[in-house]
Parts: sequence; structure tokens; C-alpha cells
Amino acid sequence: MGPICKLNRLSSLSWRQFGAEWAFFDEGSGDTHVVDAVAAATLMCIEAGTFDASALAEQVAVELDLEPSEALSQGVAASVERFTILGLIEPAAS
Amino acid sequence: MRVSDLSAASLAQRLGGGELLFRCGPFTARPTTGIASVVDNFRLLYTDYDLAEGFADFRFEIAPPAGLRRWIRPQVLFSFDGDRPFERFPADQAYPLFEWGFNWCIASTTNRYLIIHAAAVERGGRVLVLPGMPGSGKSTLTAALVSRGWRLFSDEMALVAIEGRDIVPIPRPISLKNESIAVIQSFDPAAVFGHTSHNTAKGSVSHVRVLTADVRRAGEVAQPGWIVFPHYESGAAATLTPRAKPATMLDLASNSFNYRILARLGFEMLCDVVERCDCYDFRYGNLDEAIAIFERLSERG
Amino acid sequence: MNRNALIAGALLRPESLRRLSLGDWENLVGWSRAEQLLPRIAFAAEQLKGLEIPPAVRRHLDSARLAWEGHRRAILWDVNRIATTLAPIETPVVLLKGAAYLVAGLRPAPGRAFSDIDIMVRRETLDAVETALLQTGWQMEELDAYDQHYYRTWMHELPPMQHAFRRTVLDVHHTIAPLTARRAVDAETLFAAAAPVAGGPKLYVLAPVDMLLHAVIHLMQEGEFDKGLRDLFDIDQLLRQFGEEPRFWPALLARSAEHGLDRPLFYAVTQLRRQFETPMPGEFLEEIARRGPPWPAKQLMSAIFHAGISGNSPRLARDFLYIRGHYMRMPLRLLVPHLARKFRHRFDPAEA
Repeated sequence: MGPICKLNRLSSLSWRQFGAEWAFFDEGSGDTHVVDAVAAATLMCIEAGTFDASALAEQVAVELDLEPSEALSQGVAASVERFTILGLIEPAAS
Repeated sequence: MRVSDLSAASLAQRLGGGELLFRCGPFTARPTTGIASVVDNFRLLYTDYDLAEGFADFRFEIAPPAGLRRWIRPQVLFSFDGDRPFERFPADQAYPLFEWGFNWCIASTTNRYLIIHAAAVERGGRVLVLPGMPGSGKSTLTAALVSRGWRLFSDEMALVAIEGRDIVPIPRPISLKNESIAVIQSFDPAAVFGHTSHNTAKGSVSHVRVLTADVRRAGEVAQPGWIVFPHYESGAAATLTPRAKPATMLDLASNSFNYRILARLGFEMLCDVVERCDCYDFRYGNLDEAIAIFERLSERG
Repeated sequence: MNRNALIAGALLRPESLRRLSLGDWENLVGWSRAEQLLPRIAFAAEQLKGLEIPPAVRRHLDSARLAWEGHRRAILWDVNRIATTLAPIETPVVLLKGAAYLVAGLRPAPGRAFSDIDIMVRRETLDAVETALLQTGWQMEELDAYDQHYYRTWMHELPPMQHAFRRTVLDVHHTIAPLTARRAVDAETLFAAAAPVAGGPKLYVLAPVDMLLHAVIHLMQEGEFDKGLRDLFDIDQLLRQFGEEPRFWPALLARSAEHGLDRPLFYAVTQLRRQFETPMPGEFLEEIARRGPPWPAKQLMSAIFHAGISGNSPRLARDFLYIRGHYMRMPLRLLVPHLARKFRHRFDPAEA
């Protein structure tokens, strides 16, 4: 079981798709980012609920209509790490 | 009534007493100044602007400071309802200070529009937005485009309206620096220039008067059509390179004065603008070639 | 109408906004904006049912309101990130001033101009706090040895830190008045009385009496009288909120005596009555008057403070207040060399 994470309680996201990329704005931080589909799907899943790492990778695979794979899991993990540094994702309170 | 309807004496008196209210695009301003170079340049460059009645969006003053520097190596000070955002400037730069100060008033207070640091000109109902990267030559390009039939919206600030994402004109004298002054004087002999100030932080500065027709049409908004990031490079052949929209959106955001303040609304606005526009990088070394490229863009529709 | 009278009148009696002419509105918008009070006017206008505001005016109020909301979001986010960063360290994180008013939802917050974020932590944890902040994007300005010494040893704070991306400035204190001031405040009493707030782990604000006294200290001793009217308004708003509880007033008197802050409180009260007619119980006013300075000093200081805050002061009054502000913070023997350096910074055009 990996760590459980959720969206920062101050965050509220607006999304716009541009082809294979997604731009999003976070009202909490005031920041705007452009991300690829895996990162976007990862963050959208977390936005929708609370996940641990393995369940998250599975859910992202479903969203993107892809087979689960090591590469996908790594992409999801890297996205989680990046969003955590940005403060968009926090550990869920126990 | 217009500025041109006032006699020189009357204009000077009104400016001196802070009694002249004029309209500039969607704003009204009530400047105060007794400095001759500012009065003279204003009379020349704002001659076609409408006077207004009632509420002034901005009141600002260009005046000498109290004390020694009023007389010795004279300086001027810009104040905005008593607030002084800038250090003092040499008196020779009083008119550029008027323009920079007016820009400051608008850019630091207005959240009714999303304001992008960019030039904007219009042709055939579509607006060409030229974001203002340093060294881009955007003002020179703007002055050249205007002389070849494009309508001036602004040389500094592209105003995006919340309703409909229209670009809103705010025509003001085009500020040119250093070599650009001679370039445009040669490119467009009919252009009317104000006084040239030397030794500013940006070198020599002068201003080109807005065409009468463009002042008259300041109330006509238009949809954004193209976003072009210009890069001047001596000797370069004029080349338009398509630009990815997400990156363009981010670049516009970081070139905006109030994107963060407008928050989600600003995000939606910029995404909409970028979606509706053809986005390019533009490298050029010759004004005639550059103009021709934009002509073709405009014809393609 | 006099500039300050128009602004203070609008804040004190919002009903007066109904009777403003277009010319009055133009002055109110311009002047209050220059004092960073326009967002407060926007909030005051919003409270009035059926107030008809000319569209041109409304656009300025709306713009100011939007800008304020942007600052509010930024402060809340920064507080959240700071609290998360400092959570592993054994210290409460006490929010001070503007950040405290905002997070605790207090009366001075709506429309207030925010600048730095100020927090107070236990002195013995300062090194750990500094390290943790440096690791999460906060940077310390490069200061020379003199200024480092000034902040760390003589004042009550780390040198200011700035976030590398967000550009927010953070001041980390360990008490609320400098150690070398004549009137030191015992930080332990502040921590003991602090109240928790939502917004992040281990976040607190000062107890009402301490919060009030801190605002008074800040007004009187910082020497930044250019912000006089704004800071005074904060105190007025805090008193109107806390003062609804009758026990607040005797508690304030007791705490003021405990911390040795009677004199600054006296001056603040004098200015509040004059500028904002802040309601205060009779017994409180009598007691605070007894604690004021002897007669001639009282009149002189009062006149000078009033001139400094009113916005019409001759330069001399403002300079005197600035000097007094510094006098209050350090013993006289240390004052002169420091002042010269401060003035050098102050008048250096490169730092304008």
C-alpha cells in the first residue's frame, strides 16, 4: 500500500485541453500549469477522490484507456511527486 | 469637443490647473502639469482626442520637485493622487514620464480587462497581438504596420474584454527608441513625431502621433485573430513559425499584468483567446518584408 | 473636503457614501487608492443596501476588490505552505498582524492591504525553522554582517525571507518587541495565551489583548508613519470586535501593565478617539489617561502623532516620528550609528 494523497484543501482546478496536452489553473495557489495526459489524468483522479499509489495507477489506466504498465505507474508516481512539491497534493489526514 | 478646439493658452491653463479631462479608449484622465515640454507634446500628440465631462478614472501630475532640484540639474516627479511610484527623472524626460506614468496608472489599477503587455493592431476585423518581449522591436513593427493600413489599438497594452473576449482599443502615442526613431521617420515620412528625449534609461525616446481615424474609432472593438511573438534580428529573412497553443497561453499569462488577479476567469479568457488565434513566432530583419508577411496573413483570413 | 476627513468619514460612517457627488467619489477613489484603502471602501460600499454607485466608480471598486481577493488567496496559500513546512518542528506557529486577521476571520481583514507574512516561533527553534524554510523555496536576502547582527541579535526576528517563485516576504519573529528595547515582552506569556486557528497544522493567533497590543506596538514603534491611518484603522476594528466582550477592557489594561506598554497604548487611544471615535468604556478611558505621560509631553507627543498620521504633516513631523520609532527599539548608545546607515539606505536612489 502506497501513501494516501488528496488535493490540497485550498485547491480548486479548472482544466482546458489542447490536443495531447492539458492546461489547468489552480485557484488555491494561483498557479497555471501545462501537463501531459498521464499527469492530467493523475491529478483529475486525485481531484475526484483519495487514492493510494497502486489504486491511483490502476484508475489512471482506466481513464486513459490503456493497459496498466510499469511505465504508466512510473509516470503516475512522478506526477504525484511533482504535484506534491507544488503543494497541490497533500497526504490525506488519517 | 476636442483638444484641438482649445487655444494653446486655454490648454496650458487647463493642464496647469488640472482641469482638462480627456478620453482615451475606455478611460478618462485628468492630468496636471505646468511643464512646457509636456504641455507642448500633449497639444501635438493628443490633438484629436475628445474632451470629457464628469468622472476621471486617473488623476496624475508631472511636476518639478520642491527644493533645489527644481532649479539645479532640474528634475521632474510623477505623482498619482499623491502616490509616487517612480524615482525622479531629469526634466528633459518629462514627456516620456507622462506616458510611462499614464501606462502605470492603467496597468496597476485596471482589472476590468485582462491586460497583456503587447501591441495590438487590427485589419479586416481581426486583431494582431504582438507580445512585448524585450528586444522584439514590437513598437517599431507597430508603427510600421500602422503606416501601412493597420488600425492601432495600442503599442503597449492589449486589453481583453471579459464579455466576448474582444480586444479593446486604447490608442496612445507610439513610443520609439534610439535607431527606431530614424527608421520610422524614413519608413513613414508622414508620421508626426513629438520631441525626442535623450539619455533616458532606454536611450533616446520619441513618440508618434496616432492617426486621426484611429482615435475616432477607439470605440470599435474586435476579435483576436493572431498572436505573433516578434524577434528582430538584423539580416534575418522574415519567417513565421507556428507556435504550440499551451505554451503560448503560458507565455501570455506571464506577460500579463493582472492574470493572477483575474484567476480562473483570466485562465478561461486566455485559453479562449489562444484557441481562437493562429499563434506564431516571427523572426525578421527588414520592415518591408515583415509588413508583407502580415499582409498575407490578413488576406488569408 | 479634507483628504483624510473624506476617507475616514467613509470608513467610519459608510452611510455617508449615499450622499457623495461624482466629484466626491472621484476624490475618494483616487485618495483612498493612494493610501491603499480603496479595497476597504469597496467593502464598505458593498454593505450598503440599495446604494447607487455611478458605473464609472463601480468599475474602480470592483477592480480593487478583485485585487484584494487575489492577495487574500495568496496569503492563505502561503500560510498553508509555511505551516506544512514547519509542522515537524517543535514549535507553535503564531500568525501575526494581517495574516492573523485574515486566517482568523477578524474585522480588520476585509479590504486590508497585506504585505509581508509575519509569524512567531519559539526562539530556540529559529535555526530549525530557518533551515526548513530554506529547503522549501524561501531565500534570505544577502545581508552584510551589520544587518545580520541587527536582525538576529538586536531585533526580534530572522532577516526577512522571500519565496523564490512566489515573491512573498516572510518575517519570522520570536517575540513581539525587540530584546534591546526598553520594553521587552515575555514571549512565553504570548505563547501560553495564543489560540489555535484552522488553516494548517499547529497554527495559532495571539490572544485578543496581545493582538491588540502588538498592533499598538507596531503603529507606535516601527517608525513607519506613512502607513499611519491604515494601521490605526486596524486597531479601531480590533477594538470594535474585541470590545464587545466587557471583560476585554480590564484584561487589556492588565496585560498592558504586565508588558510595560501603557505609554504606547495611551497614545494609540488618543489618536483613535480623535480619528475614528472608537467606542471605549468610561472606566477604561479614565484609567488609561492616568497612565499617560505628564502634561507638556502629552500635548506635544499627541500633536506630533496626530500630524504624522493625518497625512498633512510637514516633513519634520514625519522625520521626528521615524526617529522616535527607532529610539523606542534600541538603547540610545546604539542608535546613532544605525540611524546613519538606515538613512543611507533610505536615500540611496538605487534602492528606491
